[in-house]
Amino acid sequence: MSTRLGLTLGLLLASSVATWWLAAVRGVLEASGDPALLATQALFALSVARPMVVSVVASRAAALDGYAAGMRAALPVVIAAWPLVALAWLASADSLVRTVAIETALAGWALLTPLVGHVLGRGLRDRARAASVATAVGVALACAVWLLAATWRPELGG
Amino acid sequence: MLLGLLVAAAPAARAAALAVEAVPAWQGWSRPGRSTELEIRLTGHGDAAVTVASDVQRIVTAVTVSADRPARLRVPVAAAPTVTVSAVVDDGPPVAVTAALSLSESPLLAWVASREEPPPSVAGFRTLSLTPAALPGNAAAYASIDALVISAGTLSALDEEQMVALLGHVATCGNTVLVGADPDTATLFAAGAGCGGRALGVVPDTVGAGMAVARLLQQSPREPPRASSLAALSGADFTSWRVVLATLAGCAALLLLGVVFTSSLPLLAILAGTLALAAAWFVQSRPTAARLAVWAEAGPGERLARYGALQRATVQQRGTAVVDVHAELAAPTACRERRDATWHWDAAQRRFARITVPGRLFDSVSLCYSGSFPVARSAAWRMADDGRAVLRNTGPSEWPAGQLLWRGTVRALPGVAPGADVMLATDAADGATNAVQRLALSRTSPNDAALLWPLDLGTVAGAPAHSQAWLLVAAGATAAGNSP
Repeated sequence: MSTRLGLTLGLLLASSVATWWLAAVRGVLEASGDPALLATQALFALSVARPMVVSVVASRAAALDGYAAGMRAALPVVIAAWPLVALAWLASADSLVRTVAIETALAGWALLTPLVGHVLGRGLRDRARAASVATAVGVALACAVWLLAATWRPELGG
Repeated sequence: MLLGLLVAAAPAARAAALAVEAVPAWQGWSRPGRSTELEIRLTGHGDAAVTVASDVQRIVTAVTVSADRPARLRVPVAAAPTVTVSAVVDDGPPVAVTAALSLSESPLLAWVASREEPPPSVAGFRTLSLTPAALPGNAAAYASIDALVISAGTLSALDEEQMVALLGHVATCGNTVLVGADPDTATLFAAGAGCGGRALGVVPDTVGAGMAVARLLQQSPREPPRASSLAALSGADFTSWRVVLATLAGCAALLLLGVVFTSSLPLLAILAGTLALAAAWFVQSRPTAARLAVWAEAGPGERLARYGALQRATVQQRGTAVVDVHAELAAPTACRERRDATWHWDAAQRRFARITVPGRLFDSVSLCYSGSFPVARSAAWRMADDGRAVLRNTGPSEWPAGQLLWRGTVRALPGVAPGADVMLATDAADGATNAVQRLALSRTSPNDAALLWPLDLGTVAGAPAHSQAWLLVAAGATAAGNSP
């Protein structure tokens, strides 16, 4: 169930970014502009939004059902966007090394964040309380990701 | 050991033999944003790879140089303060020279004559006194100057390339004054002059040259449509956009289908990775989509039609993308400045053969062309005695079916024989219904008539399937009651 939930969340997230990206690209193509910047923005949005979702989902799922459940919920959030990442990279000015490094880091994040929920689940005997605390910690981690995103933000112009 | 020294010294000897010289046209004068020309002279031995680089453009070419036959290239370049020419033969070290250009903010008047004759003076112009050797061999390089005054006596000093370029400049309505030309020469230039000869002046001596230039400058020959107008003809190319949309939708569907049958994380990871690679491969495997739009116009009675063309290639691949330049279309330039583009100059054919850019998905390369071609179709309209307007085919050939533009309306035009009349009326006519008609109407005086025909691009080798070409011929008005 965790895997399906994660994949569904990942697909919803990727669909949202893809919808924005393709709509914006269409507008730029009509205006004979350069759509490369939009692809870079889409890649950056995916690199920020996915770890934020992963932070919340993984820590909560792990607090409730253990580390494996958290990991099974978190990794599909990351991998569901890979086709979009591949096509956005084709349209962007980002290097392959940078894109692969970010995907690797995201997968690593999806493997690490369930540990937080797992520890909280073990430490707090009450499942409901553990889930609430793990969710709050996940939200805090998501905020941290948001704040730290500037460190890998590419040149987006404007 | 001696043999070793000889072997080691051989490349150095070859490199030492290689010499490069770069001489800009117009004695190095040009204007910002314009084109000029570099004459590159190479002496040495071997196959030389030549690179011309500046802040705004990069050109590469290859030429074979032999000791008894130095190579000479005339390459059109974008005007920049400095242009560096580097050449390398085989494995030798590169040899580079830098040509400095003077970019004038004031308009430039080129005066080509023997040294004894004083140059004409035109207020506001910077006058360049040139020898015939300073004239370019590419018509595109005439973009550097705003007016040319040339003594007919110097024409014989021009080589074939220079003469062809000069005639090309005259054909594309470049402001030119010919001084002291004999009747045959004057007739030759007049016959090949664009814009009905309104940009060409012929004066007997230098005294009247300044006045003639001033008179030419008072006119403003109409330029062909801009690239944005030509882009509107064919509309944006959404082929790659639709491919990406369909590919992403397919990937999402397959992932959803996968999760129905399995909840195994490794399997889903393999599926997502495979889909990402397959999607990238599928999109990349599609060929570059290209479109070509040509718009030509001829004024009343003009024998040369000026054209502007837009070639757009939509790149699908990430990596180096190659766009072939159409040999039949003149003066290719990048419609938008692309500093990452490399232009490939074909030294044998003396033209740009292709352009390469670091391509990306959805990227597009736009090349603009401009030139002229002979046209035999002409028309004149008059108000007949009964008050109705009549259009006559005054050309030597039959008009094919086309479209007739009259007082802001468009209607179908049947084929018309030479000398035959067509009644002009606004009934049974419509307003513009498509981009072609809108552009044609926007370029036709509301009180005049014009004719619009599609052109066959069969003579343009490699013209893409989504190509279109149009010829707009304006009809001259004649006095009421007179036969045109």
